[in-house]
Amino acid sequence: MMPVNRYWNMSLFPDSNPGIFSAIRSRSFQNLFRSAETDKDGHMLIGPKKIYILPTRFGLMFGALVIAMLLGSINYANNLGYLLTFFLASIGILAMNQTWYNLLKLDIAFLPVKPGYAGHPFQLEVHITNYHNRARGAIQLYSKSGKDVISHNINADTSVLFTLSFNAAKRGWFSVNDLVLSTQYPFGLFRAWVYLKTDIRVLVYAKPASKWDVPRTAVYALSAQGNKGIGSDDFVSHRNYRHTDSPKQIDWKIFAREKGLMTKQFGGDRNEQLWLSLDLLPDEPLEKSLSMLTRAVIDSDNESVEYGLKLPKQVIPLGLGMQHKADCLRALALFGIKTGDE
Amino acid sequence: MNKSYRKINFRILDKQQHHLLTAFLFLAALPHFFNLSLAISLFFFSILLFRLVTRLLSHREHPRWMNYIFLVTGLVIVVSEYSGVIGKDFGVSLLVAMLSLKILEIKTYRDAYVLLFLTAFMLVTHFLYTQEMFIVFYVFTLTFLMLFLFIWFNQLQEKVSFYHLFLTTGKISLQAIPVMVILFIFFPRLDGPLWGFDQQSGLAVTGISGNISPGSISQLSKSSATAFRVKFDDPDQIPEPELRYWRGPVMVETDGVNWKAEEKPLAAEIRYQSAGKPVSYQITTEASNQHWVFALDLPATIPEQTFITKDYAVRAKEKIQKRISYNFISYPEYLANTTTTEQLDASLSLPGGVTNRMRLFVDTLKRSNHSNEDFVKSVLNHFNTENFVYTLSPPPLTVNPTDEFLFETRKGFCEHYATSFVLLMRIGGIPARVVAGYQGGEWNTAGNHLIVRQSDAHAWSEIWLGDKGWVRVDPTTAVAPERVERSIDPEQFLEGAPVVFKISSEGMFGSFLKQAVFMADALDLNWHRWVVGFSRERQNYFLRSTGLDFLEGYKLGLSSIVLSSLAIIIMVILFRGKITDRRDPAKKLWDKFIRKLNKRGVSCKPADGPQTIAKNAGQMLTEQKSSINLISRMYIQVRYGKRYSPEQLRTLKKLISEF
Repeated sequence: MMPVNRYWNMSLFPDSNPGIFSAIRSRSFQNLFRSAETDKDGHMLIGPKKIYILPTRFGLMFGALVIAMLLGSINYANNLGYLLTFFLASIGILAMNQTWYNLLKLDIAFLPVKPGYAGHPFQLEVHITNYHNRARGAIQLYSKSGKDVISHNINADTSVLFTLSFNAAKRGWFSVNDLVLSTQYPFGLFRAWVYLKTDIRVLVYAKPASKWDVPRTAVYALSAQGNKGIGSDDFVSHRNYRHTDSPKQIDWKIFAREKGLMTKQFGGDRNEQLWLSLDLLPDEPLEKSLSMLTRAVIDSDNESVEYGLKLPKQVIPLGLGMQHKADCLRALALFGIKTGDE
Repeated sequence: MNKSYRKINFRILDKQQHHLLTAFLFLAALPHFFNLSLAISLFFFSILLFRLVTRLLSHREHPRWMNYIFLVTGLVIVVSEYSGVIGKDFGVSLLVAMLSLKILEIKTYRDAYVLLFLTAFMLVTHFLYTQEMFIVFYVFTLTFLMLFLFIWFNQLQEKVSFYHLFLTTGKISLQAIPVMVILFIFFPRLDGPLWGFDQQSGLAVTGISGNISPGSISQLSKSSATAFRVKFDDPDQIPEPELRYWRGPVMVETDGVNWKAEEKPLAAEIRYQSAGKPVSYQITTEASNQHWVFALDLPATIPEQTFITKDYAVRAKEKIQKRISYNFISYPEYLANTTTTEQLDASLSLPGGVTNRMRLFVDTLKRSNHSNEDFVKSVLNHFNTENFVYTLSPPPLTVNPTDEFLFETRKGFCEHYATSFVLLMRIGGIPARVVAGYQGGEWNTAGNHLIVRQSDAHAWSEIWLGDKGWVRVDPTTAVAPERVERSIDPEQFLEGAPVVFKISSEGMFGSFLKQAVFMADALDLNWHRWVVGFSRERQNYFLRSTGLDFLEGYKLGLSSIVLSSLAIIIMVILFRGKITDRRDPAKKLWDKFIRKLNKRGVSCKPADGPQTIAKNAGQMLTEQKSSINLISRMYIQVRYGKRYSPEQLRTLKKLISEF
């Protein structure tokens, strides 16, 4: 991960001195500033008091230019000089307002982030909506610790998807809490920005090893239910909707034909069993073992081998399917990591 | 600096943007090629051409050392063209030359910004040369283009809508115009400059001084700046153009090259006999940083802040460092037949540079003309019939200017004619002196006053003719009689060419065209009255006529700030835009669902999320729990999911309406 803010690093805090300074730099320092917060609806509306604005280097240069022009005009009693000077001065002040206004009342919605694998980039998608009948130009979204700066124009009454890429190096929780929405539109003379107070935590799975080369001790067993088993491979039949069913499994075509809500059932016809455990890899270091197990989970899921996971404090019974895979990967990702989560 | 900031500013400009910047710079500098020397224009052109060619032919940058060569070349050209004179031309030339060099090393957006700022500064310098309407139109068009480029360069994304950029620039410019107008009207105007301007190595650009030498007045004549304005009390009393001699310092002392007025003259009494009718008038003089006040020849009643010298020149007691008005009464016709022997002796003394051929020339004329009057006429006749040329740019005179002018070059401006005439008179035994001042003036029909400009600067002679006293003789009229009837057009002279006078071109146009010309003229006049010439006087006049004359001094400054801030607020509100109720369609459906729940007695706080609402509603309406859950889950998926199909939205709509 990059240092939190290069600017602070360069000017105030030398890189060689982490500890207290990095703490100040990261969260606690951030809390000194106002930041936009998410409402219960999961939305964030940029209020007028949340927007910071300062002139950029060019803004200061522009100010100096206007003052120089004014002095020249006064000295030469040149009225046309006054005219141009006053025009540019008005433009400067109006630009300040417009830059500030460019962020005002933008509606920000964060889409749920899918877990990713360590070492692979994952994407944070943010819907930014402009309910104004005035277009917003060059809105930038970035994370202070990332390297991407995403910039889009948002036309009147439209919503634009901003996709920020993050690269998580380590497994575990990756939190995104340093997002900044900023703009220098229209002239780049002023920069307005809003700190977005987010508590987005992305689950990062362990990096999958290139291959799983431990001999399998697979157990074949025909499913007792035959091909009516619960799985996710093949479509088997419809049944009536129960309120616990995922909306993904509802057959919307049938619903559209006004025949009521039906749930699609899937199943597999055979069961293969595989118990995954750290004991299978006694000689490898922990991180590598977790990588290997992650690979095993992915492979087993691809090949529809029923598998279970045994970890020192957690056992996930044999199973198959998206949820099962996710549970296993999560257990591997968070193994040995202290988290105050659910 | 900030990251997003870096990301924008260190991007590399593309080819298209490069060409546009080059074109912009070219257009911005274009009017200066008429003001600055040819060498600088050529330098500018060749650098731009070099840039264009290297850009078009190769993708690589030219080597860096070439920039240093260009830099040195540019500096040498600027310094040699303006030979060490730090003034307006020097500054502007330097700016133009350096801007052309700046474009050579432009790579990133940051460089482009710096270039645009410098160009903006160059744009304002156009007004130092021309103040016509077209230049304002031109400069403002380029300023608009500059704002456009600023917005363009500030876009991070690849696809840029030029229509959108144009619209944004147009809107903000429209907003700025009223603010600009208010600031223009109310910004307090100062009386004098903050620092002395145009101190071009002692050239008397700020007016006639107590010293003249060959070339000093012709220098002055190139300036169209106002020297003073004259308002006559009675329109019938306005003297004819040939009588409008505005008398300045009188010079008796000379070393053959320079003529000098007394440095600290004493006050004297007015002792001449007036003839004809008196003319009473008010002179509003511009700051000249000198003592001389130019009254109509000859003044009779002078204001208190001034005194008159023994040769009837008027001097202010304090240096004139701001615009100031004086009331005078003068008699254009007079008999100034009192003098002292000292004065006459001084007016006969000959400097060292009198040559034999000058004496021979005078003797020849004297022999054939016995009376002094005839002698004077014959000398004037000599100027008239011989091949003498009246020019603003006479050839340089080196050792003995008078001799060289009279017998060799024969090209000169009024000071050449006046000084050599006085010298010839003195050789011929007639006391004579040089008078410097202004002649003529332009009638301003709109303001009903006379504008006397620096280009009206003039020098003439006065000779003592016994009973007739001191008599004004203007030898320039022998060469160029138009001089006293029309003003010189300072914008129309060429190096070494005869002087061009302002001539009205009547009868050349058809009636329609003539009308159009009159209208354009009226527009131009108003332009000068209300924009170019919006001085402290005009500002006061405007405030008085609108009843705002209580705004004085700091109050005016304050009001300019308050009123322009108000204008900005109004403009911002006018262009604010509105929030439209184009909520997400899913949100609209959800709101409808909440209303339905409310009717059934489920209280939902607006801040509650869909899951909380569904949970509460499910507890209260147990029999509909499954459908409530389905709806809330559908809603979450539709509204917050990455993508939703219209089909899903329709489903949600159906579910909610069936609920």
